[in-house]
Amino acid sequence: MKRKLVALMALLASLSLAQSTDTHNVTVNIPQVLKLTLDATNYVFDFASSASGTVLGYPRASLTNYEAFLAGSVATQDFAPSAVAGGTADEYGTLEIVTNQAAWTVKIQSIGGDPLTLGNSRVKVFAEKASGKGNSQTSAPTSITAGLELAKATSAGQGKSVYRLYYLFEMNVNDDIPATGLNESIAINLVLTAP
Amino acid sequence: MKRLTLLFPFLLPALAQLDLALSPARLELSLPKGGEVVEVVRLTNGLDREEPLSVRLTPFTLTPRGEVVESPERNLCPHLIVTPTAFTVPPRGTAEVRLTLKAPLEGEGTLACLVLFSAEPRPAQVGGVRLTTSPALGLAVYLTLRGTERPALRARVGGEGKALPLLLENPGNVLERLTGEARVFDGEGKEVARLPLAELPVFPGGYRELALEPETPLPPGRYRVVLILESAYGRYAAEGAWAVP
Repeated sequence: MKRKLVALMALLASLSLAQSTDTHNVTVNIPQVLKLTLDATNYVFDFASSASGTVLGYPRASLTNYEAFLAGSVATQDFAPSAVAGGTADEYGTLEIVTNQAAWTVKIQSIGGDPLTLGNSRVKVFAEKASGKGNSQTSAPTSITAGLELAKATSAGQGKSVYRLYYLFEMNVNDDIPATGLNESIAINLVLTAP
Repeated sequence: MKRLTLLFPFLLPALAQLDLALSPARLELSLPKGGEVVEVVRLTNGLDREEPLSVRLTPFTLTPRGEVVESPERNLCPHLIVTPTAFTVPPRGTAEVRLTLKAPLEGEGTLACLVLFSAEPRPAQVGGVRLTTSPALGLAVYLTLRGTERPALRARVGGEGKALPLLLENPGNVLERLTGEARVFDGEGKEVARLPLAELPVFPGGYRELALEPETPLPPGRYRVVLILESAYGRYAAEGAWAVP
């Protein structure tokens, strides 16, 4: 009798177990993600500064380097910034894209502020791919303009991609600088989209 | 010790000035004419300080290279209301934005609008020529007017080059978002490569030119290519010959 009772209890327990594992709801929620991180937001070309040295072979904007250019024999010269606020070693800014989308693009959406006296086209940009997906669309210094693509992935762009953003400023030996000097700024509006 | 203290600031890693995420990354909606829907998107700030953002709408299209360019054709922006249009994302926090979309009574196919969430330019120091970069995230919003769809796709695959030339033409009136692959066969019929395509948008009335690069370059020769693509409107197949120099 006791054995039968134990067997019955075991049967009931197994049935109970079977019922409790009968159905499961597995809910999966995976949001689309498009993330942009930028460390440098200000690039300063101060030709009165005491900055020294070069960036990727381009002399920094400084009084010494500017005077050397004026006294030299070339007509134009691309200068690296004298300072990059928030960037790496005052040389470049780092742009990070993190996404689960296959295709994305980073471009200059617009250029704000009054145009520079010497012309906005004097500002050049190039994006150097450090790691990850996609490709630079400006591997050589290119004058900034609205709509200019900097980096892009057309497929398999998921994950983290890192690009270094370098800006340069072109000076011409014939530039006539007013007595007050040039103290101007423009805003470059970058946009990341996964269309 | 003094020397170490002096050097320390130069050893610090660069700090992010902006850390912003958008979810979802885009919206693709379908409504009957006159229909209305409200969608919510989230912006997340990864920094320890608040991030003021402003919203701007701009109509767009996609170029043959996949560039997003401003275009008044197929303009969805007048039918889209974003609230709020200026807001602040709290430190390490999230802000929600409501998009109210009312489908127009006229028109057909897919309309599009780019919603730009822009950070304010950081104040620049004085002196010289200064560039301030003002980053933004763009939410592509597509609306297809239900009952007016005329999907169509033409594909031309093959040609000559180290990468496989591919031309996708969309003569229809709806956005085609294509996923699939090109299967590459050698002269003996053996499959030697598969070149995938994922979620590739082709704008209505537009086309895309692509060059699919194999992970490992193929030996010179002639190959047969079978392209199989799929979108919300059906499956498409095309065949061609590819000469690898």
